[in-house]
Amino acid sequence: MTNETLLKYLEKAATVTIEEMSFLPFESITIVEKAEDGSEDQLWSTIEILEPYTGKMLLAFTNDIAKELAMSIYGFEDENELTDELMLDTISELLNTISGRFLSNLIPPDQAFKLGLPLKGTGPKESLQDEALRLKCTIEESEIIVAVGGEDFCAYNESNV
Amino acid sequence: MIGRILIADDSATARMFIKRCLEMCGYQDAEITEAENGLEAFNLLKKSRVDLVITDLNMPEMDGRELLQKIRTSPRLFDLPVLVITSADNPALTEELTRLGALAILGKPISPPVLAEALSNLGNDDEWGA
Repeated sequence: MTNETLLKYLEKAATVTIEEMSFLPFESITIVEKAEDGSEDQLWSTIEILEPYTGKMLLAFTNDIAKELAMSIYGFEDENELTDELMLDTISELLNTISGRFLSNLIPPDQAFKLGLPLKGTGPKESLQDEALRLKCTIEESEIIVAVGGEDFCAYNESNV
Repeated sequence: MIGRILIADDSATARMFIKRCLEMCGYQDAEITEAENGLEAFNLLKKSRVDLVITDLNMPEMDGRELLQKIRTSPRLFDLPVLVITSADNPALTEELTRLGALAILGKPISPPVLAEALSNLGNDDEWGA
């Protein structure tokens, strides 16, 4: 079972951020119970949540949709303008914004929260340690993974289900 | 008139977003300088004149909070307007950064109307020396 609040806020943070920044709408969002092996052509970013909960978030794209999102965000018409570094930076910035939105909704307004600096990379990124919730989203038939993990979020997910 | 703007953010994507929003707000002729962290931004401020700083909060080397504090305690820069853009936007943080002297705190991703509203506070205020 998934905590409805956690699901609602993660789903909302991901859809609103990606749609606002790239103008590409999500076609579907499903909860994935078990992490699958990441694809070789994957680009990913993770960010640590430091306060008041501790945990981590993950955002992973396949190369084709990462390219499309970055082209849309930068307004490029020619693929050659786009570098791998810019694609990874785009994913990190999307995750940074998603995690901020997610925590803004989850945490009482009088309580500040703190995030670490995003890490980014390419290749398979299977799962976070103690993954609490993983969503598989599709844009133009390509998959995007957004996940949150860590003991605090696992405990939250198991509460008030 | 704001003619020289310094943008500090470790993300090239975020800096591009801010520049695009500034253009849409009528600042297409502004001279824009970019820095990848607070330390680089502060070093640039030491040697060049800037009318406005737009900074991210969470950056390596020196974060936006420390950059803001350094500006406010500098005899030459203390009255420089600073806008903070952050993904960790919430009322508790807004209160803290306002107390430290931020002109406004805007959540990511920023949009032209939100930026325009924040910048409208500068237009008629001689205190900022625009």
